[in-house]
Amino acid sequence: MNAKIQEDENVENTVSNLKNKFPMLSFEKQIFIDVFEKDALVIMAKGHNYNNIVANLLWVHKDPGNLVLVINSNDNEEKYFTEKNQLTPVPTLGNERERSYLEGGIHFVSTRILVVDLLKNRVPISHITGIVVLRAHTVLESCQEAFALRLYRQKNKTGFIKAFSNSPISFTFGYHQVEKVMRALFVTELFLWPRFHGNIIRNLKSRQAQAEELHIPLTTNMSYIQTCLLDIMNYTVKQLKSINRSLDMKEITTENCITKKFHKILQSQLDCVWHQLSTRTKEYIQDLKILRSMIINLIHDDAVSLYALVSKYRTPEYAQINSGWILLESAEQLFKYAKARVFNKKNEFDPEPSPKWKYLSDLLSQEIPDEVNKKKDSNLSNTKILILCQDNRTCSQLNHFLTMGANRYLLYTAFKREIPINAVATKYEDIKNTVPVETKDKTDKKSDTKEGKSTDEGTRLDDSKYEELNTEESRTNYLLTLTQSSAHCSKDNATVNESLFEPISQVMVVPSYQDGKTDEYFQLTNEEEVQPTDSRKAGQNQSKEKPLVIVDMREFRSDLPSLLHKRGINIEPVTIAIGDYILTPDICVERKSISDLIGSLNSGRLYTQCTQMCRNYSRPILLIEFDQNKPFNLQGHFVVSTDISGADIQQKLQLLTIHFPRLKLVWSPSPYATAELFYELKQGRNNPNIAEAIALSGENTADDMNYERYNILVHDFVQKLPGVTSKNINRIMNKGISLDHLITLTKEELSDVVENKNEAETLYSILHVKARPMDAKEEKFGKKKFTGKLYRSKK
Amino acid sequence: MKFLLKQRGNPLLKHITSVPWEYDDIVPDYEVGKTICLLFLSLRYHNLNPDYIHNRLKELGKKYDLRVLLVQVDLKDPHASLKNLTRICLLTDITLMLAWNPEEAAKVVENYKIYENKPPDRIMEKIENDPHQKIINALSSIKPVNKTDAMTLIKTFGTLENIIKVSESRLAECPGFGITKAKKLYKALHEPFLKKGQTKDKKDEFPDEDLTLEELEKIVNENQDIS
Repeated sequence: MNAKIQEDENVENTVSNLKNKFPMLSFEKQIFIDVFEKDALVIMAKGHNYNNIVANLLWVHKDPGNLVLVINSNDNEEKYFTEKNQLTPVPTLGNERERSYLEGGIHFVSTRILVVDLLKNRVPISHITGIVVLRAHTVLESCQEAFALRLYRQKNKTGFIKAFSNSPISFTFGYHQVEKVMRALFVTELFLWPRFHGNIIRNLKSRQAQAEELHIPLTTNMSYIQTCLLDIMNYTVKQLKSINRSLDMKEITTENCITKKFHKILQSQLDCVWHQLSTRTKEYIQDLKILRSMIINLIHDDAVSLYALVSKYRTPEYAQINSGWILLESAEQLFKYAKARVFNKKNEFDPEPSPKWKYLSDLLSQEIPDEVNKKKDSNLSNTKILILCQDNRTCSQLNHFLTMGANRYLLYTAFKREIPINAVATKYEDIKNTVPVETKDKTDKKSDTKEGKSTDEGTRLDDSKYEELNTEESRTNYLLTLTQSSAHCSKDNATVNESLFEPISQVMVVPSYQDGKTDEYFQLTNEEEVQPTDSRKAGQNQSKEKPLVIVDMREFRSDLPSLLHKRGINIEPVTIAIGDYILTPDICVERKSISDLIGSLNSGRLYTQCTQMCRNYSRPILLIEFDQNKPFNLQGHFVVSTDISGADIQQKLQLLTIHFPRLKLVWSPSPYATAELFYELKQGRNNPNIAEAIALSGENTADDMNYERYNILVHDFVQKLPGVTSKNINRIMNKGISLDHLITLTKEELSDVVENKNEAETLYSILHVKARPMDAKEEKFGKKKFTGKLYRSKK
Repeated sequence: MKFLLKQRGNPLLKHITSVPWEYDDIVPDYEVGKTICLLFLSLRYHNLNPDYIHNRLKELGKKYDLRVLLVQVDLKDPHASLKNLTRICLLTDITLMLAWNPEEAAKVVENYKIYENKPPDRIMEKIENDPHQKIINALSSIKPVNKTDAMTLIKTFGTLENIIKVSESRLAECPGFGITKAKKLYKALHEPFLKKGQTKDKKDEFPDEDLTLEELEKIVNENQDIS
């Protein structure tokens, strides 16, 4: 089954055979040839993509005699390749997946699922022809891909590994990123294809279009607004950094706040410490988000939309939850200028049109027709113009502008955004009182309004992505692209590309065992461990089986499972209700980072988890794992923001230990140390039983547990009744006998049991009197509490 | 709160300001009430006298409900020692708390005094105060019953007393209830509070650990040899 197609055949033949399938430019063919023969990492420049190359690669291997897995693709890529190569999606059930792996062919799998399948032996590892890794620059963000490839390479030394990336800039963060990625991918070859590569320049030169760049300046008001917004952002960023000095906030600068990557930067920096941040910090972050949306709106949207957006934040409700920028002088200016763009001095509605509109309409109605008419052989009605925009919103905006005209469109927007208008400027006298009708059609209209000019030619408003254009067979004569260039970045594109590739192409030494095809690599990392036989331990249970740890499925997002595996411990991924790691039949571990610890202590979740652990295992452990990137002596402070103290958390943690004396605390400096500790804890002890672990849920206590005096179902029920507190519950449980008995007691008798008159009264009434639902709760005014995360992580 | 005489001179004592204390002849270093005790250990001291803690633990045995080892991390590279102590704590049923300086250590001791008898409400999930809501929560805590079912029960039977009195078959007749759900609900409501074999008074027993202190000695010595 492991037939590697065309192993000895001339690769050129392969390429020429492919001519009819997915056509490639000659530089793409070169990349294909390079990558076909070796395990490699291919890094391409941003504007290019590897779609054609990968499509052909997959097509060559598409055969039931092969098994090729593609991991780490995003949804779009998966859809694209699945359609192009006519693949079937992978089934959701594990057993069915096992069958489809055996059927061979090409499969797109999510890395997390592949890791579980590999661990559970659902994949015939030795029969895998190869694995293709897309978006290779994301490989180091999580260790999933590295883990999957390790599991693959350990048992399969002949299959291939090929990785692709078209984001060279991602490799410039941090140190030795390329080396690290290559090591994680087990590849020994690196192919770099920047935009200035000889082949690429040769290929594209012939089709190089004549490009003209028009720089459209901001209006005066717009520049003022931009200055104000940058000022406010500066202030906010400074405040944010001042209360979070120990956090690495290098990447959070005012410049970065404007870029698209900002939320990604925030997420990567702050997500893992979210609960260690003060409320004030979270307010600053929220406000940065708001300010960012304003700046983007300023450049992309029209004056009326910006005014509507800005006015939204000029309310007393927002002022209460605002982090402070509202009080700045710049904020006042901001409101002033935003309004000035829409209302003139007489307070009449007199909006200024977007500067780029004029240019666009000039181009469409004068310049291009002039040019076309100059050429003898072209006809105006045959000319196609393609306008590329960044997103749907811009497309719809331009659509409206071109069909309605600037003034009418702005008036329409004002109505849509419910901006109160008392009077309109004189230029509106001509516009009739009807609501403008949206025309989604791109048919030509010959209307001769004073301001708005519609076009005669057929304009196609397309929001296709930049990359797709290279491969599309569209024949357009003119291509208009609208992009944003912020006032601060005026870098020349060419030099940016060159400098990106420079750090990568220095000398790099790659050890020969890096491809993992010999066992040398695995031996270096202490894979196989011989159990030391120790006569002193003869009395204890010494299991001869390889050590096994049960790992909850949800833990696979972290590093620890792969580190455990490296340590020589087998991992069984299971969905368990209680605990994260089961080391032995007695030991259950709940793992928390500091941020998680704080979050779950505050929400009450940790208490519930500990209750369940202590009910079902004789050795429950709470593992608190520090951030290995922070110096250990700073770990003493639970919180990161300096405007709050960790005293509260310390108290809660101690309270937890008082109520769960059997719970053991383990403080681990890093996942590596944790893996070591787990290994030691398992020494001389039995492996856990998988069936038992799965069977344990919150409802039942393990039969042999003696730790609970009370039947937990009825105990938990009574605990929640009004009148029952954590102080009197034990008394009630001890003397109450059962619910049946409790309802026969009189108020006085109940008082005796509870030993508190008021509580007994409440309990009595709840048992015997009909309860009525309360009216809807009143609205609470006040500060909004930030409990959840700012950005939901996609994993 | 009582302190052991031997602790005199520990800089920690200077920082204990919020709770009253006195010296006494006790086994651990600090005794809080009748149920909580703490042993103090500086990592630096531990490195120089590795047997010390083991002897103290042997002395302490299983007295007190909660035994805490308060470790002051005063070494630059504490990981090896901490790992060793972690293992000892796991084997001898001790809770490990860390402090990075005497002030923090003092806070830990104070907190145990302050919270010694407090209920865990601060760390539990926030509960509604509305009694109606509470009943719904209580009923839906019985696994197959959800909030809608709980509301059905209240509407049909009115009071908790009635719900408790009703028969299993009558429960099964309610909309949204089947035989299984009714059975589980009935069983939960009619369970006796105390488990079988438990008496009214709380016993003071602890289950046997599977390691005796002699075996612990051996393991601790092994670690010293290796490290």
